[in-house]
Formats: sequence, structure tokens, C-alpha cells
Amino acid sequence: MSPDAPLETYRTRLAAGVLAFQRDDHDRAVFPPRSVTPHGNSGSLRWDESEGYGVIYAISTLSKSDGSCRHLALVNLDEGFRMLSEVRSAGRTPRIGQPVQVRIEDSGSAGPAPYFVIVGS
Amino acid sequence: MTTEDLATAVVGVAESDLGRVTAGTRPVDLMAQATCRALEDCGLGLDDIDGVFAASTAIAMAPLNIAEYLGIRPRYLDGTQVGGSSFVAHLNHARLALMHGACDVALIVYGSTQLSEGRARSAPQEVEPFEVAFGPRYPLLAYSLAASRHMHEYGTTQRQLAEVAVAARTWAQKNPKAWHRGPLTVDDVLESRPVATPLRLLDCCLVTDGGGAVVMTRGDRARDLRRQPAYLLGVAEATSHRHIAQMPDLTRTAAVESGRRAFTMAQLAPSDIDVLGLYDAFTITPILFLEDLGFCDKGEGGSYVEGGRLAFGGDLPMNTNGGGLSYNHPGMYGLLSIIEAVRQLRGECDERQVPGARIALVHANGGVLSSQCTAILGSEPAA
Repeated sequence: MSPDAPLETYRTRLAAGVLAFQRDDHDRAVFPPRSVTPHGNSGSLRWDESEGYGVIYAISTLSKSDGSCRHLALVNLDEGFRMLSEVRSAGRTPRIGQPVQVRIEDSGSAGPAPYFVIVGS
Repeated sequence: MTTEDLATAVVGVAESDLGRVTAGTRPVDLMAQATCRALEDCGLGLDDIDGVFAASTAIAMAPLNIAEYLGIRPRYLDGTQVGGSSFVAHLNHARLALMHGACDVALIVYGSTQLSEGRARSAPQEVEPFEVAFGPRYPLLAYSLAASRHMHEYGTTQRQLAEVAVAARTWAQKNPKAWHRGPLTVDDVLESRPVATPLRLLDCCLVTDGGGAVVMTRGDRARDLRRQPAYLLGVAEATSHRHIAQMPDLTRTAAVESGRRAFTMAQLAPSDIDVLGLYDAFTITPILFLEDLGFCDKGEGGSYVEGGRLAFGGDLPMNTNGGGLSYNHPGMYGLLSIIEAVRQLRGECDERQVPGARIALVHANGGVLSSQCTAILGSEPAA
């Protein structure tokens, strides 16, 4: 068991500019971070740092009544885990299959957060 | 003992008031109203209830609240809360409790005033700390993401999604209790406001007040009550995740597992089903469940719903009450789907009656495709 609260370790790493995740004893990626190895595997979890590259797996644009919109996506990171995030794409509509890269930026009330941008944009 | 004695059955059903109820009505008021109507339906009394199964996003300890309100002291309580599928899970749990004699008369009950009091208060969404910064709007976002993936992998179109909404409306037009009964075309759906691509406003279920209650007993008691029993032939529960980012494959739900186990228990197949209730929280969900329950191949759900196959007069009657899309959706919908299935089996559905319906399937979904529960009900104790 990790002595630290997984969420706090994750947040501390984000504040240092790192998207952290865990690996089990078979090097399989685990996300979100937790205290117990999932899938019935014995052993422990160790922390690792994502390079931040991935691919959009699913995408949806939320419309607000003021006409603004946000693109929320499920991103498959190259290390083998998936997470929800917002794709900040400067006017382009993101599509499934596009390569993306993490950009840790301040979210305001929730502190630093791992947003994604389309690679090459 | 006969097959009938070993069986369990739904013997009483009733909805509470639906749509928009009087301001100040509380969810527990609707639960009590539905309970009394369901008891009247089967001829049992409050004192007969000794098992209570309830769940609500607005009431943390729902079985306790309704027991207190009704002035009863059940010896078996179950507050399983897995979202809108909770009540199909409760059918399973009531079945097991009845079979083992842990209770003799089971009440499954729900009520919500989410329209009258506002959805934010009625159904506060759990905050996931790993996602909160992005402001996801759940449950809507989870289903729009799933729809985006299904369209990407299988070419499912917006028009096919819209067909699900149009089909629901054809049945609602035959149901005097339905919220929306006016005409609806595919173009109407496509022209409605985008809310979370690819879903538009009319791809989404209603937000209404409503509730219901069903009463279950063992078979030996069922045959002595007022109505034709609806026997529980098969039932199963499954889960694959809680958060949409953890769903292994957005196009394949745990209905694959719950359906398979329910059909196996009932010793039936999709071709045996006369009438279907497939939880229509959003137009994508019936498409997913038609595939995952085995009514069509994976990826074929979009074309399967075309041409009015599931509409009034079509080959496969689905959501004959008008569904969550056009009849009523009080936040957790599964109980209403069970009630409609039972009424179809009894022959009580008037203009929307499926002639000769003898086997009904109710499939309910909870959370964000998180919980999948399937029940098969029949007019006879065994298939």
C-alpha cells in the first residue's frame, strides 16, 4: 500500500507539471491512482510519469446557452490508460483518432489540470 | 411443490402521479401514493408488506423513509442503489428473499419530484476529483461520448438515433399518461438544439416528476390475488465500471453479461420476447441494448431501428408506454418499465396493447452505462 493518499500524490505531481499514473507489477498502467492493485493481481503499485501523448478515443462538444462550447474527450494515453479531459483546440473541432498532447494548466478553482491539445496545432 | 409455488411473481403495480406534481409534494409522498395504489391493485394491505426495496437519489436511506411514512416495520430491507437499474436489481433481490422465506410480500418503490424541485437538488451528481476541473455534465456527457464512439466504429448516424425518439413517440401517442403526445419526425429531432454532440435535445430523455410501486410474492400466493401474476422467469445484474472513463469499451455494455444470464435462467432467447422495455435515457441506449442483448449483431443497432421496426405497429414492440423519451423519466426510470411490462402481460394496455403478449423483457441501465440489469417476465410460471 502506498503510504500517501493517491489523490494527493497525483495533485502534488500536477502542481510540479507532471501527469502521474501508476503501474502494477506487470507494468500495466493503472488510472486513476488508487491504493490497491486492481484486477486481482497481487503485488504493489508504483508511480510513473506519462510523456503526455495520446489519442482521442471519444469526443463530445458541450454547448452552453451563451453560445460557447467546450470539447470534452476520453483520451487513450500511449502508456495504456484512459482519462477524461478537455481538448483545447483553438477553434478546431477535435475528432476521434487525432493525436493529442497534455498541457497542464491552471483550471482556476480546481488547481492545475491536465488539458490536451491536438498535436501539430 | 409445483413450479408455480417455487416461482415468484409481480402481483400488483401502480404509478404515482406523473409529469408535474403539486408544488411542495415530496418524493416520499409519491412513493406512498404509488404503494397504496399497487396494494389496491392486488388486494393486499400495508400490514402484509414485510420486505421493502427502495432507492432514490434524493433520499439517502430510502427504505427507512418509506417504511416510517407507511407505519410499517419490514423484516427485510434493501436499499441497493445502482442508478435507474436499481429496481430490476430489486426484482432479483426480492426473488431471493421470497424464495428463502426472508419475506412474504415484497414492495419495490420509487418516487421523484425532480421537475418540481429542480434536478440539481433532486439528483446531485457525485464529484470525481480527477475530472472536476473539466466541468463534465453528467449523465449527459457519458452518453454523448458513447454515441460518438458508436458512430465512429459502426457508422451509426444521427438519423438512426432520431428514429429511436420517433418510435417512442408513436407509442406515447397511444398512452394517455404520456408527457409528450404530439407528432415527432426525424427532422424535428435533427433540428432540436445540440446539447452534447452528437446528441441533441430530443435525443435526451424527459425530466419529469413520477414514481411507482410493484408488489411481489411467491407463486402460491400470487394465484389467489386480484390480477394475473407476471412471473419472474429470469433476472440478472452486471457492472463494468462506475465512471465513463473506466468503461473498457464504450460500444459494449455489461448488458452482454446480464442479458446472457437472464436468458439462461429463463431458458429463453431474444426470439421468444413479445414486448421489450429497453431503458431509453438517450437515443443511443436502446441501440446499444438491442445489440448487447442479442436482438441484432454488434454495430447493427442503427440500421435495426430504421423503418419503424420498434414503433407502434412494427415488428418488435419496444417501450410501449412511450419510454423515458416521451412518456416519463423521473430520474430513475426502471420501475416504470417494469410496470409497463406487467400491464402488457396482463392485457391491460388498451390502444397500445401488444396482442397475445406472453413474454416481456425489461432491461434497465444505471449510472453512466455502469449498471445493467435484465429481467424476463412471463404469463406462466415457466417458459
